[in-house]
Amino acid sequence: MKLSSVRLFHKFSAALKPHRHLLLAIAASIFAIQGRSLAATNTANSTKSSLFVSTETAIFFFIGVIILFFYIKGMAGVLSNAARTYSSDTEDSQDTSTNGLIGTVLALIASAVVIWSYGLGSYCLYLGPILCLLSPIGIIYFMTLDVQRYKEIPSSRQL
Amino acid sequence: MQTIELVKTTLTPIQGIFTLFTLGFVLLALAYYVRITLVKNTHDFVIAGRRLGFGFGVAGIISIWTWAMAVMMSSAMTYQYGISGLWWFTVPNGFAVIVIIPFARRLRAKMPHGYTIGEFVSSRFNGEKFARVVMTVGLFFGALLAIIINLKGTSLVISTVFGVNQGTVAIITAIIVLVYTVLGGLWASISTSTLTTVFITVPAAFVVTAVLSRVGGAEFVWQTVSSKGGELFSVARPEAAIGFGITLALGLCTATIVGQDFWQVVWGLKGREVSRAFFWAGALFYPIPICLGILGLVGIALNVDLATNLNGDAAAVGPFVISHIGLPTWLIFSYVFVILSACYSTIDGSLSAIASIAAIDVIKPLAPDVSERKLFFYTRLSMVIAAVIATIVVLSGVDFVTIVLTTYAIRTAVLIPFMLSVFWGRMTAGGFVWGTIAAIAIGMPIHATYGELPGSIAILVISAIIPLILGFQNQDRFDYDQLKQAEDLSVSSATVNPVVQRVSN
Repeated sequence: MKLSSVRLFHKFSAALKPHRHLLLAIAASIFAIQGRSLAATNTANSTKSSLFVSTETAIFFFIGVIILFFYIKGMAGVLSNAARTYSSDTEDSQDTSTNGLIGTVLALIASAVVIWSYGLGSYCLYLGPILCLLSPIGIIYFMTLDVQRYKEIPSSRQL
Repeated sequence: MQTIELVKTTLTPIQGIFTLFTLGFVLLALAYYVRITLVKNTHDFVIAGRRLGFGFGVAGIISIWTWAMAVMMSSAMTYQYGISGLWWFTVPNGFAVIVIIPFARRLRAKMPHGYTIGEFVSSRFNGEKFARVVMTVGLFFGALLAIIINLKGTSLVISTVFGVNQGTVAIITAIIVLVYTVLGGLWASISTSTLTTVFITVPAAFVVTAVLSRVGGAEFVWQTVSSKGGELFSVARPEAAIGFGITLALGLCTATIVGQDFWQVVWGLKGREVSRAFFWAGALFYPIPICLGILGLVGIALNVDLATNLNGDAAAVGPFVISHIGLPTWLIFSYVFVILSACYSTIDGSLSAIASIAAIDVIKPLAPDVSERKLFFYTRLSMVIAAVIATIVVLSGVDFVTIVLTTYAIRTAVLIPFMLSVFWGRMTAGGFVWGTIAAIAIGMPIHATYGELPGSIAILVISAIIPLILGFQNQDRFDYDQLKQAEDLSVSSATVNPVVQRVSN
């Protein structure tokens, strides 16, 4: 059963809701630090190390922490279900995937275009970090599919 | 124009060692959990019971393919050639993962209980020993080389950033990875590699963003690089293709198609997941070098000098930029974490590959009636031996060019014969063996005399022509359904995980 993007968004929001106080606290502290650091970084020209970072970096870090949380949650789900169904998961169906040539060509073109876009303008340099930051979301989705499939398998102890 | 004075941030050796152990303990804890819940016998140890799912498959492949050197090479090639260098480094890299799909689908369908491509070659050619030996040697050296290169690269980076002795880094790294891989085999390798994928991607994103902000923003970097010549933002520089691109592309495809660290995943995945796991692994790998390549542009913008700042090694541009522009210490640690994650995941994948090669291609053929317990013991022993050899090579400072050339020669020479073996029923054992031997015997002197590209082309052409000639003379066609006769390793009651056995009782 595939998740539509809208349902995925609602699922994501629902998962975040219980942790909203923690997330707000993290966000507030990061932005409080940035309020002090902006003046410092705007005038600093030396390479003396400091604790503070730019607003963009803070945003990337904050999003990264959220992604990390759900990623590890996904991993835990997969491993616990794999252990639960150790003896009862005997499925070995054929590979019927048809990504094939078109998908390969699209992937190659997409990567080549993103690299080429670095020459278009300075703002395109952020494409790389953005894609890198968001790529684990795809893996989180794949792990969600795995967990759904595991739930259809009875536990080893039920056999 | 904004100027930045490049001054090294001082970090201590104890911080470096702390970082090594921190990541090690996290991965060890995960490997231990996997060991006690999912690894009950050699079959689970070597091939994860063929239970790897889609998510872990994708993430595990990405991490295994992201070498510590690759993290630095994406910046290095960009620094040397501009975005042409990044293009030629990145595009073939992801493609190399995807290109294995037709071979993986074919062999997984025809030989569902396989473990190694050495085993496939033996089954394909009715037990032809020499063909299997050649393939096994190539697989072993390939896995060993991956361990050596990653140990070496990581030792260099950690010693440069923290001042830790290179030998100390190599020993600690080898021990840490060996302990958790010996614990849980392929399941541990893929699980820890899954975790390290997010440890690579997320920190890489915010570290590179921080670097751009620190040096004056993306606008400063872009304008400065542009001012040094329009070719730096061109993807069509021929010198990038000729200088390294074409031979790298060939080498990358060889490494995946004839690499046991990938084939163990092919047979370790659930059958239905093979194609899409490798496709998405290749596709989602791309953002990593695309992101980290920006450090090369920053190096250009800051006028980092190859000779005086990098000691002639362009691969050092990423670590140099990170450690010399006054980034907060925690961001430097984050970058080091990226490199360590790439290193640990590649080494554990290679150690798992060596375990499967040892079990299936060495121990089982020599001692078919070996007990489950002994097989399990010797399989883990092979990982220890490989780790010790690799560490000694790195510590000795010996130039491992010979290992590189041997691996390169064998892998390139078996590539076409292997591909033909998978799909062409008329391919013969003689074609495989003589094609490989002739390709190495003729191609390697050409490589030594005329360079890498002519040598590679010669090896490929010879290794294709001879099997084709002999194959077209062969009237018999191999029945690929015979490959289904390969069996799983025994999953007898002689469990090797008494903890799980007691729980299940």
